[in-house]
Amino acid sequence: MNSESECVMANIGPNIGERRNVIIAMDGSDYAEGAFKWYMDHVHRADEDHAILLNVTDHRHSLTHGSAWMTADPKLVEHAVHEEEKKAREMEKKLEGYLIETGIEGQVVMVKGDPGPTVTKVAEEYNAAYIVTGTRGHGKIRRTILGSVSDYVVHHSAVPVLIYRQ
Amino acid sequence: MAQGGRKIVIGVDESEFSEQAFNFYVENFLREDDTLFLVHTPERYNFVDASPAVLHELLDEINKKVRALENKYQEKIKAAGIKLGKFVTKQGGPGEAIVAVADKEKANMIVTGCRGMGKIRRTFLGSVSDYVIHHAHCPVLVCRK
Repeated sequence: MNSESECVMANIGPNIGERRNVIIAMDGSDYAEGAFKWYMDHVHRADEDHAILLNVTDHRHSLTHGSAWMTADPKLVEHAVHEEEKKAREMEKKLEGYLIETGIEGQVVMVKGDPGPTVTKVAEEYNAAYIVTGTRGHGKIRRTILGSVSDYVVHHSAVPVLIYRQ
Repeated sequence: MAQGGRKIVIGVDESEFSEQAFNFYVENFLREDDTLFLVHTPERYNFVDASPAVLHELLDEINKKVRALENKYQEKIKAAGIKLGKFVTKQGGPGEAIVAVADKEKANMIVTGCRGMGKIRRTFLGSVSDYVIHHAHCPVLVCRK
């Protein structure tokens, strides 16, 4: 069923036919990539799953522009926003690449917001069967076993959460 | 698709959450050639001060409960068409037991409910799942309803 299309299966919409939606939280980190690969090899059901590669960009840090700590120079703000958009597009392409490479039934979903709550909210919106997440992502703090987003998701998700680690 | 023969560890107790986790695994993750390890840690009693008669009674009660649980899950395993299911009874904390079995058997995945027999319901995640998430060396599926 997947062999016919080589184009990106993007934006088809939630709950296609009888397939169940699986959310795979991806931030572009190695952990996320590892989680996706493991999901592909060990968990993915080709005839049942619709994989949703979900990327959440935390846009709120850009709100520090115009505060006491940074100038509100419009050019700077514009530049920053432009850079963000560029990064988001690159991420989207990267995630679409995973879908194309593996040929699995799925779509890429890009959302802006607070990562933890956004992942759980999107999972609910798409009526996901479960969420796949790594133990951590891009975050800098390595003292905890579970990164802040994965920690949030596993504690607040309304659906089962699969925490990938190796 | 990787070749088969996955080893799945599932913590089980008498709670309905345990059953839900098992059912969820069967409906969404089960593969024909999976080997299941069901880990159970029977409740510990402090035997130090017990008289022989009481001791005997307590042990009897524990054995009965364990056998009942074993039978219940054997039925479920058969119904699900799982070829190989092993029941592992261990002493000590459930979390530690689950992780120990998973390590020893080099399990591909651990399945745990979000809570079990515990009385505290204020948290979203019971102490066992919490322990397993933080100490497991393989992927962990935390089920919840």
